[in-house]
Amino acid sequence: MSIRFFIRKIFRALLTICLIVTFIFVALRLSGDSALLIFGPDADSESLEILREAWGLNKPIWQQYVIYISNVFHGDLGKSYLDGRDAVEVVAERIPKTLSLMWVTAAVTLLIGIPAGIQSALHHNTKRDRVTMTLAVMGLSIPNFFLGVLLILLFSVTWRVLPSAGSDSWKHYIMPVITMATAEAAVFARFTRSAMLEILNQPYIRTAIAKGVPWKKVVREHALPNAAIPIVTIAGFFIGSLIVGGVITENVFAWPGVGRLLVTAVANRDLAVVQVTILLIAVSMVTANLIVDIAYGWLDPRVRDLRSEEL
Amino acid sequence: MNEKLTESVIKSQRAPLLQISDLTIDFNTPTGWIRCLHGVGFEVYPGEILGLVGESGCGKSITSMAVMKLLDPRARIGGNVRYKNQDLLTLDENGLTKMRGRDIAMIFQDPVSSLNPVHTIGRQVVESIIYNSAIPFLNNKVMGKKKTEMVKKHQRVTVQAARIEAERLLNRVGIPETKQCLKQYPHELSGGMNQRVMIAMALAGRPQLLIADEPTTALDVTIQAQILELIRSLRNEMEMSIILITHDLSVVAETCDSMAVMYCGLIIEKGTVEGIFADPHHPYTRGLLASLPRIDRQIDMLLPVEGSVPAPHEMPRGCAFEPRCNVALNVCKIRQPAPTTESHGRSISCFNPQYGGFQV
Repeated sequence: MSIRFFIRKIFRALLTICLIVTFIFVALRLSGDSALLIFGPDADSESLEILREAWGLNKPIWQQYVIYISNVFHGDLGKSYLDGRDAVEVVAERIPKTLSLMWVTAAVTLLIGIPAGIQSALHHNTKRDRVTMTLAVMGLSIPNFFLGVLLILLFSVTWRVLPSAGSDSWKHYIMPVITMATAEAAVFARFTRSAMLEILNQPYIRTAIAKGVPWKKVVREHALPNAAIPIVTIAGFFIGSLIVGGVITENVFAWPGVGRLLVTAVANRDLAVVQVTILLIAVSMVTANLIVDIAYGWLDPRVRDLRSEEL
Repeated sequence: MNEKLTESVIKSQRAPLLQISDLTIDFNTPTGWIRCLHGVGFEVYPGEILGLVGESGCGKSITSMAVMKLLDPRARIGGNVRYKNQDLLTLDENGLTKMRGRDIAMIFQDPVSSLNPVHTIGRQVVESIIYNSAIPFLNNKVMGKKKTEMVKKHQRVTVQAARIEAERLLNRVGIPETKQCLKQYPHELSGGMNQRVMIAMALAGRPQLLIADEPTTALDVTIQAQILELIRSLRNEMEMSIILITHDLSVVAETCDSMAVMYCGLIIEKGTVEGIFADPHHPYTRGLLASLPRIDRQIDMLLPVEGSVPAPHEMPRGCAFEPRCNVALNVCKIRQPAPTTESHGRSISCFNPQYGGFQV
């Protein structure tokens, strides 16, 4: 793969992030007068004026934008209106908790979803396939917030075996991970199944069988590497839905992560924190898609060539 | 000509390499089982190139797929397929894996999509050599933990040997830059080159029978001639038999020793290529040959075979060709004609075969 391909991809990712930064600026200004939002409608005009002066809200909009952009690039994203700490710091201390939940969820999703999909495809139209796919549709149909509450009701309230809130022990992971991984694993199972089915019908699979390669090796060495290409493509969406699912799940289980912070910050009108959180989510999505793009070219030699020709 | 005649003489003295008799194939469809092959029988003799000819959908490809057991496992196969007195239809998965590539190899119509797009040519050819050649490979089951190191070393050596063999094979099938080619991916090569790679992979196990399923249909005419020439020369060099499946009679005339004409899941005429081209007996074969442009005769108009092939679920009770036949008798509507054998291995399934006077 060519170096130019990388540079171009990275450049595009940076451009996307710049657009998102601008979008956040515009969206937050459109949401009304920040000073009024913080102090409420009853505030006296003198306090409002002091606040506007302090946050630079009384400058012309283009000047505010230039200051904002230069601050962003200096890593200064403002202070939390609530406790005056650096917004970046407030968000950063929540990241490890969110990440640890995401890793576990991603591992469970992939370890269940992909093998289930492969098995379904290999035993296409049998009982095993139908049972797996019925379960997948069920898993897909249950909304996150409902499953979470249902689990709390059963395991915490009725049977009292699992903690309903917090993140202190491995027991705390069980319900949030089930809540998030159910729908994700279902998506992966269905997608893997259809990808595998399509690949297994390709002429090169027939060639591999005809040249005397044992079936297990045909699956492992010929079908799976090809099926991996479409599966990696949805991994980009997967990261996105993990983040979105995380916001809901963290709130249901009072998980002290970024998702929960986002909701509290929105409720408290802590604009700087909201801004940092959104930027963080955007950057991780863009990065995930960049990685998917690069992995795609690495897995499929045809794409690799196509892309270097395109440049 | 001479070569072909001696072939047919040798043929009568030797035992067939592959003997197919009464082969039937049924597919399960939502409306029930549909029979696509109605009892096909033919023999392939050592060193012979047999052309299996017919329109698309007549069952030539599924016949060859049944021999290799490559059909959907839900298809029902009946009859007998004997390869050197071994019944291929009763082989278990293990036996099939051993047979495929080593005894019988196969090449396909579209070489580009028949090669795995994410593996290099080298990897695919080496794989074929590893699974089929005489180079000793340690079975995974033998691997004890202590021996692993030794086995790894051994495998490296054998993979190296397989690489050298792969280069030799690619060289043999006429690929110029073999070292370069081993590193390339199928999409980087032309169709003709890919078909050469397919042939090289098929040769890896030194099979005694090669099934070529329309190997040149997807290629342009000059490449087609080169590939056919390659196949012919390989037959002579490696003394293997070939089943060449095609719908192109000119390919048969150029390449094959004997031929079998299929129509609607049945073989309606078989014999030597000269025999059938000089004097086709079955009205369908006559029609096919009459629709060919000839360089040796002045023809004003090409004659098509009128009508179309009946669908598998509405096959007539009698002879399948009866509705399109211009010499049909009353009996043709009622019963299917059984194959009758004549001299030189010629056989016809027809109640009213035509003799002599074949002139377009």
